[in-house]
Amino acid sequence: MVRLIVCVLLTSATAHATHDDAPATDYTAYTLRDGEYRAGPGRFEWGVTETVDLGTLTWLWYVRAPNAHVKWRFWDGEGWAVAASLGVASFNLGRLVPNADIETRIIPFELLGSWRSGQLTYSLGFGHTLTRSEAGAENEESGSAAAALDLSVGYLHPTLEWRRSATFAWVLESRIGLFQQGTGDASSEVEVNERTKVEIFGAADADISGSTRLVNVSLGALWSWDQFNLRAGLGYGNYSVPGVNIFIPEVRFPYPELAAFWRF
Amino acid sequence: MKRWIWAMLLAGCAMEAEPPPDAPDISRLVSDWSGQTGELSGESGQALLQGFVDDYETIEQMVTLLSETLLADDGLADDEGTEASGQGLGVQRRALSVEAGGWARITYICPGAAPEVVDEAQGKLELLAAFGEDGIRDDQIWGEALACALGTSLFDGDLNLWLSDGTAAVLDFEGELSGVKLPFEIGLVNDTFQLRRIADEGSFLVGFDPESTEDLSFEITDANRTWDCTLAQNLTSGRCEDEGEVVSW
Repeated sequence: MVRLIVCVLLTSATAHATHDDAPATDYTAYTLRDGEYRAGPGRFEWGVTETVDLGTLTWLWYVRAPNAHVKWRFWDGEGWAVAASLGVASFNLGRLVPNADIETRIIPFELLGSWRSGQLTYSLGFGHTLTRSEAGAENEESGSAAAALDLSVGYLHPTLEWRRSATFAWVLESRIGLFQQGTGDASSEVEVNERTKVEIFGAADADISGSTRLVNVSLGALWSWDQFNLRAGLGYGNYSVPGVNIFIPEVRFPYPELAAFWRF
Repeated sequence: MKRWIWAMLLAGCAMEAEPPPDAPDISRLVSDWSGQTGELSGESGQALLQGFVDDYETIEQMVTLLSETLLADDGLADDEGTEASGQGLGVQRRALSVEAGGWARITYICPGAAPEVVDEAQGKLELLAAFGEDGIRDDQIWGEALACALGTSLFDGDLNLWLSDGTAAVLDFEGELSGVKLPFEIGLVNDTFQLRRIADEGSFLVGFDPESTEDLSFEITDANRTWDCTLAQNLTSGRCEDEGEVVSW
């Protein structure tokens, strides 16, 4: 992956990534230009066409979690854009920890609308991420057990971008949790003795939103030069774990917002 | 690619655990065993105990069935250290809101005439229990005796077990006992086996200890109290006593 990024960087032709000719794509409905790349340590994307991006979260590959996402800007108006993005990711804890056979699959979806007016871009997204984890264990003596956990997270994603120059903008971004629900089920089969076998099927629903609203806000600066982009800021609230989009309930704390990437 | 397609399909299909089977309605059983209507008299005492003696062979077999059913039910208690009568199946509430439940299926191979042999040919008891956050739902276990051999008897039919507040278990059996069609109810209340019997005056519970039936001593519970009763060796006369009050025949 690193080799690919370096090769592409070295061979890339003219690059225009300033705010004027290449609107930010990370938190808006806009997409990369046809054939354009966005590459950084956390994310790699490619503009397949003017309206479709294909990408992957590179940081997930560091934990051996293959993943991909596609974003389709399906409607454009005067200053308006609406896009949908869908991703899939898979992670098996057993790839990192021996004998920990827990398979997790993540499917994030987001519908985003953006309106660009003068120096401002207003964006609003509705996101829904499904995460499913499955585990199983078998023991010749005590029997077998299997468990599955589904997490469903829904959130609003408003963002305001205020462009102060061709290369600099302020970005105010928020995520507001609408629901965060867990559903689990488990079954086990146990031979209590040679005469008695017990099978148990259990299910549970849990509201894991906590007692206070799930929300976070970050304020950051975005520099967009010809190729290199840097976003740095500070957020506060219920942290939303990137990729799975799960809010950490009950605790609010400050967190850094940092992204560095190239567009070419 | 297959993995991704599978993952996407998965997202579209809400996962559901195997749904719990429907529990039969045991409201009549609960109501019948929750309070008796008769008032003991010499006539009813004689009728109740004479009936007990006449049905003794069947009663003995039903005692075995109830004991084995409770033994099978203990499978829930033995599993992962949960407590007897399934209380341990309950799920503790956490700080975040949780609703939990499920069900269990117990398969118990009947001991037949040779308890040291475990052989599916001896038939089995298949019992089901639904549980929620507070343990076994509606204190009810139900299921079937499938050609279940207990000693020389063969049980084939439906079972309903009501576990009342941890101190009582009432078994309702409807099926065939060694080929004879038989509805039968038997309880174990505070370690005493009980039969519910109807006499002219109303309903009664006749309590007995199967280990010492030769003493011919019983308990009879009527609408108001529990009597200590003894039957004479000739089985024709007897007396019941409670707090100085005596009923005899």
